[in-house]
Amino acid sequence: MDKMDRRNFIKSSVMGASLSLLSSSPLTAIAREAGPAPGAPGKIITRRLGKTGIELPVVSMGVMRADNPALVRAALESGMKHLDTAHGYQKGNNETMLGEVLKEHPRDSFVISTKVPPDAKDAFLANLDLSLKRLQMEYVDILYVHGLTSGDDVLSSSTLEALAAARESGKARHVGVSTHRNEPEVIRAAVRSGVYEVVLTSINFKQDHYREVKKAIAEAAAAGVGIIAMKTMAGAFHDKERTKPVNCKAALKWVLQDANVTTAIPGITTFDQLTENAGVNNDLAMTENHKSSLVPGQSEGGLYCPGCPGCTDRCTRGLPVPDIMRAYMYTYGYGDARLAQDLLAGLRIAGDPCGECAECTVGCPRGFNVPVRVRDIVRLTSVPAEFLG
Amino acid sequence: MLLLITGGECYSADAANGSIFPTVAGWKIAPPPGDSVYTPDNLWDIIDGAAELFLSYGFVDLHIMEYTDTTGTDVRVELYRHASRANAFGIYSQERNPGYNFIEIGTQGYVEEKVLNFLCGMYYVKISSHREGKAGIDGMALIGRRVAEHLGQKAGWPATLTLLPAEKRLPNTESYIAENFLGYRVFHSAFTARYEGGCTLFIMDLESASRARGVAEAYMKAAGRQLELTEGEIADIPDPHNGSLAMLLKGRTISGAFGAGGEALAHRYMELLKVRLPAPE
Repeated sequence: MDKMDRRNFIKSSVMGASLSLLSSSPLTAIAREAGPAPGAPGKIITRRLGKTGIELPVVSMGVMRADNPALVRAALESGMKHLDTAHGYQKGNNETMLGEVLKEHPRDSFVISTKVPPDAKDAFLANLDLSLKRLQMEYVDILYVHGLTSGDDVLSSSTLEALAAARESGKARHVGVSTHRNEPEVIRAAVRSGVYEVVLTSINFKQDHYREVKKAIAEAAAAGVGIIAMKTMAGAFHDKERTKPVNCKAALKWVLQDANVTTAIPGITTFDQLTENAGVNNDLAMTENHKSSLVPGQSEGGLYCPGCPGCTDRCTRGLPVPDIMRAYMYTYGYGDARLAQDLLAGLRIAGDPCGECAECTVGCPRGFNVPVRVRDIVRLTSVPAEFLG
Repeated sequence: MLLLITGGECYSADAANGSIFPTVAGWKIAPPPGDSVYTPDNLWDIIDGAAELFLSYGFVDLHIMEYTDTTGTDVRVELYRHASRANAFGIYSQERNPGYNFIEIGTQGYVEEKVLNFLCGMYYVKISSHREGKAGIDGMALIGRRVAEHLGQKAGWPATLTLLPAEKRLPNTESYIAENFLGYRVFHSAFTARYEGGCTLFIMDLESASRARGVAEAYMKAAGRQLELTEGEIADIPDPHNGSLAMLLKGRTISGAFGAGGEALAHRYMELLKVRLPAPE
């Protein structure tokens, strides 16, 4: 029987013949950019969260959409320490799932935050009690008032009283506010209040006003208010049609170049994403590829296949040429070889599909050398997934 | 015209007028102040970070209406429309808890103080009221049933879900995972349910047998396994992240069992499931 645990799997998957296969290829560069696997040794970069005194790895886990306890356990094994949830996520099921996982771990081995929607003091505190019951904990490390979008809301006396009461009761070690709109105004109001210790804010390379957000973040950091970043992936796609994926590792690193940001909480729903994000905990350096991949249009130059009709009919093997060209763009344009591999796997293409043709009949109107690109990208199908960082 | 005369009880007339909401005799109807329709572009504005989960389940749009009766009971109706019945069931199941107080409304619903939520075809319907006690619950149930009738959705659960065996299934634990099932990007569109003994069963019904085999092979590669899957035979896969997985490739379906009960129990449940699967085309 095939017996291999997670750690051995991760170690072994980066070895083997696939390395030689990729030598002298652009794919090699992508493979070399792979960060350390979860659980791999390496110094984890940490930062202090304002005046709270909490020290956190720069990458944390947004649990929001994760419903798999194994994923949370793997995140903690990878060295991540901070887990972020909310009272309303999955109508409480998210907190319940986390509670089941975290009861296996010493309370001081993780830092958990939850968010409770703004409400009258008693209702707010009742919701906090319900969250704690679901989480099976006596306190959360950070309690946010959820999703405020104006300075007036931040400074509302009922909200401030509720947060103060939560902290005094010991049910919240620290209090904060989360915001994904009018962030500079919210951040500055939080600083002015003297009550909030942490702000969880949207920040990403696609925001029109990111410079203003960063300026407010700097002011907060100077005042000792800790900053945690969310929405770092900027929606995960450059385009509305979701055909041009954001290089998520690059986007995450972009945010973390700002030392005023203590940690980020990208949503993690796959082990691939976990591996990629955990790698950033050891390596914040941005390559030229990372930088260019964040410039809309620049990353797809000469790579974008418009899918004009006729390609597949002209191919004597009937290959789905536009899909294969899309896999090529995912790899070389967006640095997402895993997405390309998934696409190719679904197409069930492997080996050398162009090997039997002496001459290509496709005749791409964009001038793509189709057989060269096909041969190059199809090699991905023989690379272990975890090798593609 | 006759239908129009009957006023609030007339669903056909409402539909002819193009309203997604029914009128109800004795209740005033009005959209809430501000926005009453949301799309994927601005769903964040109303449900904050929870929007991401809704978007992953093919959220199409949200329509909101408020009803008020002569006693002052208020009822707010939120209609979340999704791209398919499976997606609507998926988001409903994500927020459902087996311990809720379930009622017969739409395909299924549950009621709590000030809240009544239910599944209705491609819609996930959320109803709330500020009125406490029986008056609030009765008001929500009345409006909810009118909404369910008015939407005119086909009753019943998604067909693939009904393939999971009923024997020893824990009530109201069924779910649909649209993407990244078990933490793998290659696994998607999975219906699951929990069973006695700590076992979870799942089934994915894909577009074709070829596609199913492609997904299964991609999973094996992602999990670092090199086992050959034989059509129609249950294989034990030592998944590096999720523990042992009993998996079956049959026609265009991939099904499996995993959980605390161990391999023997997983196999017993898989045998129950296997006989329910359609024969390969």
